[in-house]
Amino acid sequence: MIVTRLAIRALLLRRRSLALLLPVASVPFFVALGIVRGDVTPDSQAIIVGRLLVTTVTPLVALVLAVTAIGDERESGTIVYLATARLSRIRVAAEKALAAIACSVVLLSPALLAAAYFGVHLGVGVDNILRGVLGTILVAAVYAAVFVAVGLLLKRALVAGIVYVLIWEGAIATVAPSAERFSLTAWGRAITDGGLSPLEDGLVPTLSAQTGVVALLVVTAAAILLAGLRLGRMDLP
Amino acid sequence: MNALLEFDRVSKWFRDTVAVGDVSFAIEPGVTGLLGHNGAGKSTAIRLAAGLARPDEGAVRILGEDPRTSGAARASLGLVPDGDGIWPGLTARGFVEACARLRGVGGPGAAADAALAAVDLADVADRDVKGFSQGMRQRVKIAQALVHRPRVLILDEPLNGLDPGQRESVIALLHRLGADGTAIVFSSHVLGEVERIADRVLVLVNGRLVAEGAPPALRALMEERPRRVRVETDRPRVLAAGIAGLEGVGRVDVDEDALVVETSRPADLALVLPGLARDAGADLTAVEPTDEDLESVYSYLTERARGVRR
Repeated sequence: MIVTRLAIRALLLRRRSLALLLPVASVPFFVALGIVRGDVTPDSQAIIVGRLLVTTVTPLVALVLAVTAIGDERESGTIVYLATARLSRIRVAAEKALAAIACSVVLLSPALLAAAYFGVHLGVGVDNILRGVLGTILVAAVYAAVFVAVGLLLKRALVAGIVYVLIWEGAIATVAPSAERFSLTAWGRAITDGGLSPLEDGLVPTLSAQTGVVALLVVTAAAILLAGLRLGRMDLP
Repeated sequence: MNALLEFDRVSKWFRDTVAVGDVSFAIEPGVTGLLGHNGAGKSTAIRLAAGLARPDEGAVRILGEDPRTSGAARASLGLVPDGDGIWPGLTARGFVEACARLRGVGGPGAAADAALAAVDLADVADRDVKGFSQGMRQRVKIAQALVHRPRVLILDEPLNGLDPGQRESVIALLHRLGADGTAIVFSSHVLGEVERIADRVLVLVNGRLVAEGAPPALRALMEERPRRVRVETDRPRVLAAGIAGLEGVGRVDVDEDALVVETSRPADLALVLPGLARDAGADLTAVEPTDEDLESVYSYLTERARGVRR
């Protein structure tokens, strides 16, 4: 796992990574605000976890880390050391995604803890708290894998990723029920919020949590495979 | 037996530009210099050799296998890239040890120590690479390329940024590795540097292999070529008449206040020119070669390769 270790070290030393704690801090902020205002309901739980943490904060954190994990290697030229190593390119891509996932979980941990605290305060039960953690980690995983691949396919992967998160995931997929089937974060929300009740109509996707888990794992694996194949075919500096 | 590194009619182009065109050679143990001016295709050839770029035509083989797809080929390869990038937050030992782990070396710590000692960096092995000079970073890069004892070592401009003492140290190391059976290919645009280090030289011009051979043969070839000498004088036409009859002189072009002589014996011209000028009653204000730079040497070799000159 040397590629993962090197990537984690490089990611955590970047100022850009630490700047991600700003959007992460929005989750503890809204948790504190909800508790202070006495607005501790299943709907507010779904909004804080599903809409804020899973739909906005987690994708942003994971995509920035994933694009940085692969982009920094290309910019600095250290990717040649990986490319001439005795490792398959798919393994290199998988380890890069794993590093981005691990760093995402570390950076998201204040938000996860705050969300879990909100769940305890609401009395949703351990099952629902664990669903929240699992769903968030799976969304981080799928974004890390997809954006390692996108980072190898596009020069402006970060811009493309942010536009995708804000427009598709953050706007269209949260208001158009038919778009849920093609939304990574909707699959995640099906896991995190599927056990909450009663909820307003439309707050939780109609997909089952099991479908969400399977879909996210399949796309994560496919993205890693695509990234490995792309890394194997592309010319390196 | 397969060559350790082989180019078989390899071409690589970027849109309409041919970076490497129909290049074939085979590298055996010893030191081979890849000589060419900037933009000649050296770095592309090195990227192809290391499996970092894919040929559009032809094949690159290390020990008979494609370095892009064969783990065994990559395990036999050490690469010192031109770029300066090293992962952040690592000591010299940490970086070289990480590279040893990437290549599956058993006992990566001891291998890293041995590689750092080989490039005279054992004393600073525990210092962060961030604070190293360019020469020290270059030697760290060489250490990582040696850490798994590769049979083929490829270096892109390895002497860049080194002070004279460090250059001598690296040159001695390359000689030693070459003598021990490693096939070494290094690129350079400095003819004298290549002559000093290499047993064999490949000359690339505009992506094409225009000459290859031992350095003395290449030097002789370069010295045989006709030179152009510009003679500034107040009576160029009178002087031209005298020069035209000299042995080795081919063409004489006359301007208003100068003439340009093409000769295969420039030293002889320099000896007789003052006497000719005195006899012609001409003043000489300047005598200088116009094509002593490497570009001219390469141009000559290119034309020769194309059959323009014989």
